Amino acid sequence: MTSQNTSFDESGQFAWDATSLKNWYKCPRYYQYTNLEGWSSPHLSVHLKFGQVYADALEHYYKHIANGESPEKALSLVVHQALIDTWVYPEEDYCPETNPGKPWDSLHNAKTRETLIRSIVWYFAHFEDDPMPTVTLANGKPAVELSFRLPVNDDIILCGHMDRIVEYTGGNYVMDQKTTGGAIGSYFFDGFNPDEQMSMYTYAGNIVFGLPIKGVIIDAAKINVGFTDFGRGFTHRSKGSLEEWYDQTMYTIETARHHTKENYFPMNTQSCGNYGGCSFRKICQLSPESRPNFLKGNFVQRPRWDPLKPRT
Amino acid sequence: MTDTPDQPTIQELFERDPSAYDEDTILRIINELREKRKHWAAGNKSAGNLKKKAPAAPKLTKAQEEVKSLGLTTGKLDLTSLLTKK
Repeated sequence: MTSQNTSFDESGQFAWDATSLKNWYKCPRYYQYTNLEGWSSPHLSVHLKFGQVYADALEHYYKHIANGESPEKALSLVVHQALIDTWVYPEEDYCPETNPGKPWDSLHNAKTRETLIRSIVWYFAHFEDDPMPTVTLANGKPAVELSFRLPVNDDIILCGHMDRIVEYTGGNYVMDQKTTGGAIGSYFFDGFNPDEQMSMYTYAGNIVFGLPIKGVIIDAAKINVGFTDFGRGFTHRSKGSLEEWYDQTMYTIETARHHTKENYFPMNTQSCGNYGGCSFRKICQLSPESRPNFLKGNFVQRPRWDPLKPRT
Repeated sequence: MTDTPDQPTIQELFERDPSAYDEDTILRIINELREKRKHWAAGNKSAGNLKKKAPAAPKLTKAQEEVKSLGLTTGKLDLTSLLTKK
């Protein structure tokens, strides 16, 4: 199961992205089930699928623009791709006439295939008058689709993927997209400080790309049944905050690797009820000897999370 | 944008395999969704205006509430004063 994984050595995970850190902070047992053992729900969460296709579309739009496409053509390309990504093709015997497949059914009232395509089109209409130019890197290339690997102390690698670095009101920012069903206001944007992803992006942006990054701009989309609303928020990081984040992150990684070596992952019982309840709550409620069978019966074991795996 | 009898509706397009879409079909979907946004924005704006212009309902006195609860209509007769004198 793990032979192909490039982010682990005999002492545990050495390549860490924000998702891995978040999973560890959430609960060491959750980290064990997801990152180390690869257990996940058999069905991809509607929120994950919706958010993935939406973020990909917006990211690829700017890649097309950087490659010289017109805004209209770029939008056409990403809308077409999003339609294809949300079409369920048959696993066998695909035939456009007789066996074409079917549209993705999200089983969600607001996050549907149509509201996804609508949100992509409306995003560019909403921010039409407030564009943010993409920063040009020192190598002359536009700062879009930026995967980074940052070697730090003790042979640890911090890694991740940024959509774009932009210039806005005289500063450089990492650009990120979020979709939500809740209200977009100061409470929503407040949730990104502290936040592992936003701190890591700012930290890595400064070092890897040699740009003075002030923080992250978050373009949020609230998906409603009849319309999509948008909001733009900022989350800043000072030099001192980033230094503190780095020290804490290294301490956390060391702790997680120690626990991996000891094969001991205590539950963080204060996290069980967060965000609608942990998906492994039912497993943790069982007696330890019963858990392996229930995991096999209710979850699927996918390849171990590998942050260094190149994006396709 | 309206659908002609020869053209599938947007809803019908969403039910079809997108692999074979040509550029015109994609543009039609995009333009249709832009139109929807314009309608939504216009509706939102007029709803906002209505909300601003709508006068606040006058607050009823306790006596008027009592009259209302009895199902009586005051007409030109001042039942409120009658009730308060009772």
